[in-house]
Amino acid sequence: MLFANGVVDRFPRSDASPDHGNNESDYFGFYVQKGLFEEYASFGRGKAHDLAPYDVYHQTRGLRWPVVDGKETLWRFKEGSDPYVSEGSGWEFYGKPDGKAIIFALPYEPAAESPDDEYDLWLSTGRVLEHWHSGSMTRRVPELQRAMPDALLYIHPEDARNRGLRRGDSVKVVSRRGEVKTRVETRGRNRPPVGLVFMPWFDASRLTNKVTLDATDPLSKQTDYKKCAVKVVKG
Amino acid sequence: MNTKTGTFLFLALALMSLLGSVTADEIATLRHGTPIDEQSDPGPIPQVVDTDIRSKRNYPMQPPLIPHDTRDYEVNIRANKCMSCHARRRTEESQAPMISVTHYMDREGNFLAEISPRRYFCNQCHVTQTVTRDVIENEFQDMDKLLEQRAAGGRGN
Repeated sequence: MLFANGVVDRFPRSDASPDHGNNESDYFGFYVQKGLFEEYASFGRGKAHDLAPYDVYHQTRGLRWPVVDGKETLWRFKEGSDPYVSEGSGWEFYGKPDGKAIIFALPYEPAAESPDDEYDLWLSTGRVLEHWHSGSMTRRVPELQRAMPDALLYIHPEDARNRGLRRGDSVKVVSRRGEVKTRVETRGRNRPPVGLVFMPWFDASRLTNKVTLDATDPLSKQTDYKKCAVKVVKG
Repeated sequence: MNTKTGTFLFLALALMSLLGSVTADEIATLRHGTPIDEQSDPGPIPQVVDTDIRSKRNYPMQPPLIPHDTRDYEVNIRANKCMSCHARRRTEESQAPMISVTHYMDREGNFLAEISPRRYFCNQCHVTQTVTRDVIENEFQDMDKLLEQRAAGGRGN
């Protein structure tokens, strides 16, 4: 049977709390969650990845590992806090052979596109607290939708004034690749600096990515939707 | 034509017929029917609900909604505008509801004299509402409704 390896099926069904249902353990006939956790935890114990016993995590709001002798490690790699650091070393990155951290020094990589005379603003795109990513679920929750209904363009009041724009004006955000229409917000909780505008991308009726850049980071290959050059015009 | 090319052609045709049958309306359910290559004119920025009338919570643990405008409210390291009315000692003059007692507790459950730092940023959980239309119908029913249904012999859960 799956999981019946003497470790995962070590704890009887009766160990689990009787206060709530546990379909999986009913099915297997043993306390499967605890067994799986304890098997997993055994791989890291004594190897600086120690986890506390399973039941402890039901009583705490989380512990920072390594958890050695019931004590969490508040300051990792620091003598006096992390029990794996050898005496007298002060700091020790014990995961490395020489006990020293590896710090990567990488060359500066300029942005694929920067503002110029025509496209004179940085556009940064991103998320808002109310919506998880594109809002495919959160926009269906009335309270969250009403809290953050539309993707607006957040702009510094000075940038808005220089373009003859006022809060609530309808604008086009234009880049070399496309444009998106939205409204200007100058006093939202997002306060972009002069020279940068921000627009979230959760709103399916405001396709921010029509404007963004089709470039990737040369090293990590991550997409560069975070920044590009745009102009903002009335419209 | 070898088998490989044949299979490819077949798949391509199948895909094309599939795409052809899907209209823009069907893909973009949160776009109010605007085709994907067009964009609607953005409506005006909606008004913030400022009635000071509390709304019912959908479940007891729901963070209550803010029934008033919070424009220019500062919540930062120096000030917390919300607490100038909702702190325990201010509620008599403000007649605003006191923040939940849980907000005076630290993570171990000890009671503090002041709001706990972990509850300090009100807008992490509490939001204002705007007068706007919902993008999609929501069929949420609270537990009272579900209990009623069960009592009436309907679906219990």
